[in-house]
Amino acid sequence: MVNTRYNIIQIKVESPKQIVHFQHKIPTYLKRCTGFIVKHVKGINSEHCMAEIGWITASFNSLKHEKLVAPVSVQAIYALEEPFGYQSLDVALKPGQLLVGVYIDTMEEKEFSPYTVSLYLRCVAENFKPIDPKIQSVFKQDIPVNPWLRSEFIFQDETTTDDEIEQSITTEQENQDQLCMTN
Amino acid sequence: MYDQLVFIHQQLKQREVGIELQRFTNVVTKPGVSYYEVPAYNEYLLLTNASALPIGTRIISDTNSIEIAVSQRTLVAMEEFSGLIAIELPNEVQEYPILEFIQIVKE
Repeated sequence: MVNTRYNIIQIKVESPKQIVHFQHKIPTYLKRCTGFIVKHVKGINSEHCMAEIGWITASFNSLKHEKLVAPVSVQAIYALEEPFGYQSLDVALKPGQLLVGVYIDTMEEKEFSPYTVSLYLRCVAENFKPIDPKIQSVFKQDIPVNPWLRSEFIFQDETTTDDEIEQSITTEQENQDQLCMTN
Repeated sequence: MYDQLVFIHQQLKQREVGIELQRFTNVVTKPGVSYYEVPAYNEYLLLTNASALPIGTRIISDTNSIEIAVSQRTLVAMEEFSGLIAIELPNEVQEYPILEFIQIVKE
């Protein structure tokens, strides 16, 4: 079972053109980050939609993986709340490391008022491990069988498959109305 | 003593980044131009002379952004940038600075 957990990082912008540096330690039990969304949550009440009020950049695993660059917009105050659409992300999280980033405000000074932006990270608590290569090699190994039996098996298998295909084609042709069949 | 190159090597080793090339590079500013763009995709530019830049200079990149403040005057730390780097000088500048960077090309 995969346990989804959400991490929220709040960024407060208090002056126009402000540059806000942030760092956040993601809990060790989270193994993978699968999505993110950046939203303006408080402060600006605009009657029209603002396509961009700032930019956010962030890197995962203590600056090892630069993964996130996104603009932040503001919806009009009367607009319907849009559903949370997470942008997909796929970062394997190393334990005990930092998410480091910068938010930069790009609003016009005359329109500015202090506001808060939240970065929501969608993470999972389990890591999806690929099948162990040792186990895979066991599956790939040829099972030693009697050559006579082996060839017979392959012959039978191929014949069966062809027959099945032919049978299915004829049945479809005969049964064009897709009626139920009884054998 | 704080050795910038030693620090860069140690930090990039911690971040598991291999170095293909390291060299010095600079951006010379001139009168009448207050905005410069430097492409640094797939590489790092480390600003080494933040303390010599006019107060209010803004350097904005895809990974890091700074505005030179009074407090930066005494700092010897480097600032790292990557991606498209935009340099904005403040309106009234008495001297046009040279921005010195150490360029690191990743493996």
